[in-house]
Amino acid sequence: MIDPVTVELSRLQFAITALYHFLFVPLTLGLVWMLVIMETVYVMTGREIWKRMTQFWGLLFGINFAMGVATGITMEFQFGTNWAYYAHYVGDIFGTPLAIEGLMAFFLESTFVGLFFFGWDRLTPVKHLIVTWLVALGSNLSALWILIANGWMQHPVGSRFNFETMRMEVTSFAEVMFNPVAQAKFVHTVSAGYVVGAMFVLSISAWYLLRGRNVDVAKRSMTVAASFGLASALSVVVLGDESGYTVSENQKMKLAAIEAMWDTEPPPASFTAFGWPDVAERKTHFAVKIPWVMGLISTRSLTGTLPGINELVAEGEQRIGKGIVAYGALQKLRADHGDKAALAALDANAADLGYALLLKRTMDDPTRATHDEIALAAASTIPNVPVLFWSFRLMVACGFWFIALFAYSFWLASTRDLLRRRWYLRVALYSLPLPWVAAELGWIVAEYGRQPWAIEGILPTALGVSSVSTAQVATSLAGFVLFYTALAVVDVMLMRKYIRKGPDGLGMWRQAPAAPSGHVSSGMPD
Amino acid sequence: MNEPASASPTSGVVGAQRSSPSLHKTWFRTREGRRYGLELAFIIVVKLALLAVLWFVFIEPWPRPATPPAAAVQQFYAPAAPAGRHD
Repeated sequence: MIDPVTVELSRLQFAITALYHFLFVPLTLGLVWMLVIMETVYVMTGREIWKRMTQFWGLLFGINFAMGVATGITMEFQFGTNWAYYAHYVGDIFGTPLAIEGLMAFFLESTFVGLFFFGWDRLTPVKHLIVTWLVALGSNLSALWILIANGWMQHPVGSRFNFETMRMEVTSFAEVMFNPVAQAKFVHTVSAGYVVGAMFVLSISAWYLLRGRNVDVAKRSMTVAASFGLASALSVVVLGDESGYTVSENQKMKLAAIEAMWDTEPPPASFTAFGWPDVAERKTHFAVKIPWVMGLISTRSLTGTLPGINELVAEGEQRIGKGIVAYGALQKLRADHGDKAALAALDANAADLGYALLLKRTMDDPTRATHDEIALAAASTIPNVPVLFWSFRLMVACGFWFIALFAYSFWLASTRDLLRRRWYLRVALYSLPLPWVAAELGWIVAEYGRQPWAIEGILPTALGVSSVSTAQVATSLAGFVLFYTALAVVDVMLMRKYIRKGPDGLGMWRQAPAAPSGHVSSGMPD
Repeated sequence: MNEPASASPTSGVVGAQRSSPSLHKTWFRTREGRRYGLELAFIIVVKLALLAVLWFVFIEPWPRPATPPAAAVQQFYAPAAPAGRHD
């Protein structure tokens, strides 16, 4: 039997690694476009300050890149160590975009990152600008391939199960590449990264303005951040809506859990703005509902029905029943590959084979499952409703906050009024961690919401775990935590050091005049 | 733009005129810049070393999970005990 502790520790290890890695990724994705904008202005106008700005923010980009690079490689360690069966079962499909990411996007990005730093004196301004554009292109292509792999886990298209090899195989790589879920995830995720980059520049610039330092650099940086941030924040919400639409089509249980929608509502379904999901009673207490909103957002119609959790569990029971038929047929085919009746039974029920595998968590032979065991397995398809419910709402709240903050910043920048409203500068500074919080919550919604599946409807997470001991996973988990903690400490120290020095302290730009009257402490250490 | 460069306190340095960047030594070649480069290089080397330590101390000593196709088939479809290890 599969050891549930090993499964949970393996999941925890992967989650910690992925969440830590994604602290660096969005800043790379967003900050690189800020560099592109600043350097483009420099090349177009020839004004030296834009070059210095590009170099200063590039310096911080370099720290983030150096700290972030290879933090994702430990996830690939884990595909071999903790998720060997997952790798065996779907590696032919999942591994391809990961390999392309490394060969095509990461190499492009890494090569040109070097030129970005060492090419200032060796390349003409236009050539150096092309280098910066290529770094941006490489980092975004990298995100594309990773999200194609992840999109396939959410919506496995372009593949089929081969009973002779007992693994999933690609039938159409084009379908895998142009998977609508992957495309929606890509644009939503990179937009979230752009918001992170914009907020990073906005907040740090606000800190300089609060202290009356680097005023010229900070004001221009805030103007770029406000414009880019506003466009990105609006994109995140619009493209997140598209992402939600694809979820309503392909991952109905995830959507129902996000909404804590226990029963199917007559269309168009309402949106629960607030509530207290009660998993034991399968009810949402104190629900504050906004009529029609969920139905309109998720089905884009007045008549589309969104099934509730209870209905989806009942549907799951039926699918497990069909999956058991497929599983039984598979057993016969393993004994006799020419068994035509078994082959026909497998073909007819192949789409539900994964549902029978849900039973493998508690029993060896799903064909012997009782009704109660099937009901229990069907109930296990409900993800953690309270976590999804609140993570989603906090993420959305952050998204609307970003729109408001960047819109106001844009207004202040347009009216050349950035310096006078110190309360605004403080708000901009303290908003610094929020885009990271929102991005991490987004991943929690996406990945926790897919449970109990590693590959939606195909492979339960528990079955993907290697046949390793709990002690083995616990040991490597401890090692990963130590490794990442050490990196986090160094990263924060380095970032603080260079931000505190600033363009003036680093000799990039002449020291600005003393702070204007009314200077207040920002809370950032001196 | 919220303020033209020529009106800024530092306009004496750059003004609004177009500069010739190739005439200036880039910051990355200054003493501070070189130190920054060394720090990043040091971090990358230390990180690779830490990754190696992670692998050799926490992962490598343990038995490798069984991955031959037969073991995987057993994991997914055999009505039997879980697959064995290469202990």
